[in-house]
Parts: sequence; C-alpha cells; structure tokens
Amino acid sequence: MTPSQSTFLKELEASLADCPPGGLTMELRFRDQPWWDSLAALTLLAVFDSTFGKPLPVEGFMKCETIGDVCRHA
Amino acid sequence: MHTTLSNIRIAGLAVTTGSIERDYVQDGLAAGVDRSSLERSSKVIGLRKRMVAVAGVTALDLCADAATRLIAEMGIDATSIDAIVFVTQSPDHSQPNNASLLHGRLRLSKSAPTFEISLGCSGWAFGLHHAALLCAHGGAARVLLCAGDTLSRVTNPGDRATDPLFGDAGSATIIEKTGRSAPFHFVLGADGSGAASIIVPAGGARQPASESTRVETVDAEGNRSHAENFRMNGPEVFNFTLREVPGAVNAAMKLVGWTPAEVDALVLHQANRFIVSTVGRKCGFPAEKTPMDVFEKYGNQSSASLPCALIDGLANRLEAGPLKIVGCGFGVGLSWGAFAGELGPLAIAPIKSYP
Repeated sequence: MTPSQSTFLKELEASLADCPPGGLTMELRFRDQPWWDSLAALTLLAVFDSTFGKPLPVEGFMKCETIGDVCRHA
Repeated sequence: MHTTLSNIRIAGLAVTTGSIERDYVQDGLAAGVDRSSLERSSKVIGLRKRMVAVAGVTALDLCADAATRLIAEMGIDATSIDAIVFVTQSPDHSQPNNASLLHGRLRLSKSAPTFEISLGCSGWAFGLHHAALLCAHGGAARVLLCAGDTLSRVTNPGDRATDPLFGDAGSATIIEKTGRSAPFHFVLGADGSGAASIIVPAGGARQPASESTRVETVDAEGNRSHAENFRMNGPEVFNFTLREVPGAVNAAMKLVGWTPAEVDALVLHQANRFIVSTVGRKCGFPAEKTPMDVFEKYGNQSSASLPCALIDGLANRLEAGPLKIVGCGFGVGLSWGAFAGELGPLAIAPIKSYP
C-alpha cells in the first residue's frame, strides 16, 4: 500500500460515521457493508478528491467493488 | 468567461420563502425510514427543515413579494426601475415570461425592458452579471433582479434522494449604477456535456407531458419518480462541483487580488451543508467564513439560495458594510458563476414566508 493510499483509508474511515475502527481494508467490498449508502458514496468521492487531488470518475467508481479498485483510479 | 464591471453596486436584498414547514426526520419516519439513518443524514448533510410553497403560490408570487417589500424598505418608486432580470426554472407559463408578468404587477415604466434567464442554482450569479452589465454599459441606473424557484413541485414525494432537499423561495436584488469606482468581478462557465445530470426529462417541447410521462419507475434504491419529475445524478453533480467551483472561486479572487485571509465571507449556493463545507474547505476558507445554515432552515432554494445566505449569515454586517465578498452558484446546465466584490452598505428586507 502506498503512503497516499494509507492516508486515503485513514481519512475515509474517520469521515464515515458508522464504519467500525480498522474496518477498512483494500480488499473490503464496501457496497456490501451495512453503513454503505448514498451519503457514504459522496464522502468517498470527497475524500478521494482531497487525498489524490483529482475527482474519482463516476463511471469508473460505479464499477468498483473493493476499496483497492477505488485506489487504482488514483 | 472572466468579466470585470465597474461603477455598480448592490443596493438591496430581500428573500421570501414558502410558508409550509417540512421536517426531514418526521417526514422520513412517516415514510417508514429508519430513525438512526435519518438522524445521521440530518447531522451530516443538514437535512432538518425546509419551507415549501402552498398550492397555487408560484416563484413569481414569492419574487413579487420580495420585490414589493424591498422597494418599500428602500423607499424607492417602482417607476425608477429601468429593467427587470428574472431568473427561474419554474415560470408561471411557457409564455409570456415571468419578467413580463412581474413588470405588469409592479406597474413599471414602459421604457423598462424585461429579460428572463432559465437557470437554477447558478442563476443568481448570472442574473447579477446581466443586471450589472445593464447598469455598467446598458444605460440603466437601477435594475431589479428576481431569482427563485418552486422545485418542490417537480420532485416526487417517493424519491427520497431528491424530494427532501428542496425548499421554495423567491428573491429580489436591486443593482444600481454608482459614480464611485466599484469593480465587480465575474467568472461564468458552462459544461453542457453534463446537462443530463440534472434534468426534468418531460413537460417541454422535446417530450410533452402525457399520461405516459407520468408512469412511475423505481430505481435500485427504491426511489419512485416519473419523467416529469426532477432527476439528479448525485455523484456526477458532486464531482462536477468539486471539479469546477474551487477553480472559479480562485479565478474570481485572482481578478480582484484578494486572498482567503482578506475576504470577509465566501458565500456558496446552499446545496446542502456537506457540499458547502467540503467546497469551502477546498477553496481554502475556514468554516467560520462560509455561511452554511440556510439549507437546514429553508432547504435548497435553487437561485434564491445565494441572496438568502447573504441575508441569513451577514445581514447586520452588510447593512453596515462594506464587506469583501466572494461567492459562487453552481448547478443545472451544468453551469457555474463566481463573483467577487465589495458589498454594502445596503438595504435588507428580512427573510419572510408568503403568504
């Protein structure tokens, strides 16, 4: 995991109100989690943008299944 | 487009809201939504109260009330208004436009022309630019800008992704030509390739309203809507906002030569608390310089939200003025309009509901 990917995971976990501590991993299938909803999606887009300095393309995001998939768009 | 217009000032502001108060949590509970989920959205996004118009009241009525109150507050004669600029996506009719109807209601001079701009959440900035242009170069000394919508009429109550967001409101702004050097800077832009991200598909000439356009469909999250309803691709619009708004705000600040530390307030379209705080932070502004309470009091008021944020967050300071203000509206089109300039002292008619 790169330093910026590690930062992304930490920032995302801190920003997601209902995500349990240590609950985010690169392999996590986030859409299957009980805390995943439209607000969590916007939060992920915001944290991606602030961490990697560019927006996450929505079309690509819709195909992502794991956090690792998301990070591959960085 | 980057523009600087001189010798203009905003002389007065007024906002009128709908009169029915809706409560996000109570409405959600009634619809069978889990309380903890509602309270989390309420806290993070700011979904609390919104004011919607009673049946029969339109954006024209709300703007007319705001204009009438502002004219009285300023002690001016309606016949001294040299032009009307009306911004709305909720006109009373496809023709004539709201600007002409308001001209008749206010009994303006026959020499005062009317202009209508079809835009939503970016619209106040575009209308302000047009009104300023009329004052700076168009021979007008005083222009009335009205901006407002009744978007609660086009959302589907069964669509929990859009219906709880919107309130109804109309605004009035008086722009005047002034003898002193008072530059106002604008950065206006559009991206029509994203037009489908915010759309009411049917009801216009392309797809006229009919029984078939009122057949409801249900999306993957269980939200119901039909083709005459307001539809928004939330993630696309959010990315558009993050992509375009900070750059437009920074460009406006570059035109005026201010840094965030020198600016008194960054006033953003009150899309919701989450978006305003995220964009404000990305623009380099602390939360205390970014008014963001309008959404949780009144809902997303489309083109009326910027003047409402100015009044709600800064009324006393604007009446004393001047303040260094930077702002940006963004939304349907897709479109965005940033502005920077000194505001105040100016007249303010308090936020009021109608009827």
